[in-house]
Amino acid sequence: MKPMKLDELYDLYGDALYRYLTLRLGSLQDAEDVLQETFVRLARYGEERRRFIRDPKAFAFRCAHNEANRFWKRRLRHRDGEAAFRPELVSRLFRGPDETSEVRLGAALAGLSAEQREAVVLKELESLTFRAIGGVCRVSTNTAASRYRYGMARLREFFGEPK
Amino acid sequence: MSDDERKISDYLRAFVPRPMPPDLRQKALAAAEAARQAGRFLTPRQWGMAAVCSLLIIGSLAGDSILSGKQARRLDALLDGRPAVALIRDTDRSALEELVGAQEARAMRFLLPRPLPERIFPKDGRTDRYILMFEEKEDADVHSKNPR
Repeated sequence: MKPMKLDELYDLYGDALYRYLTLRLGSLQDAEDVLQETFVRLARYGEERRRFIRDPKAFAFRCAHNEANRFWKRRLRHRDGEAAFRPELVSRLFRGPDETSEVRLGAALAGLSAEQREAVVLKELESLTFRAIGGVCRVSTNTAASRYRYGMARLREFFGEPK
Repeated sequence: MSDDERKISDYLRAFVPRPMPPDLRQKALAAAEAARQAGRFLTPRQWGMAAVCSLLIIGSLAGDSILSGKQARRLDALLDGRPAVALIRDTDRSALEELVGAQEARAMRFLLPRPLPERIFPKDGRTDRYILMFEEKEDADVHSKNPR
């Protein structure tokens, strides 16, 4: 298999990684820094080792997930994903069907736990499979699916009947 | 997936990403390229682990040579200072030279056995006595089988 070059990886997944990191870290600047660290990490793997990666998208998200954890460990000395989420950033990253939908989505995502939010964002907004989400979060596929379903149930409660 | 879940899923998928900051790509790839050129392929933690592993390997090699040296000295001490491992090659070479001459013996040196440790027997004469006993017993057996 031909190894993917870094610029190809960025063109395919760079923006998605940035959105994911922004929602996870709650800061555009921090997301930018961690995105750079993610690509430094990907560069460190080298083309020869990247040749053996089966799912480059899941791998890139996993690297971003790990770098975000390192960032929190470095910056805050503990993982604090719940507090880091900022609903107002959703409108900076996504354009909804109408003007209020972005604010409503931000409020809805804020009502989820960090794990549920991550599963829902990765599945619905970034189109990862449950298997890939499990790989990113280092949990089983069933656990990833379960987090997603609990998250969707809470979103359903929040939205009621979406338009 | 239930109908409600599908509706929520369709609703979420209606959100489209906004364009990202234009210089983000350049920054991320420049950082990666700089790291690649600077040879930062190991994290500081990995460098630390590599250094610890190197020290352990060097320490084990040095410790092994020290311990084996001590062991050889102890064996030498048990044998009144004689080397515990003596080679028989010189003995064999001299015997070969006597047999075929020096030049041929040099040519045939590859036929000589590899160096083997000499068997060390105690110097109290007990071994000689045992050998003598066995030889006498064999002689007695031979004589009993073939009486004159």
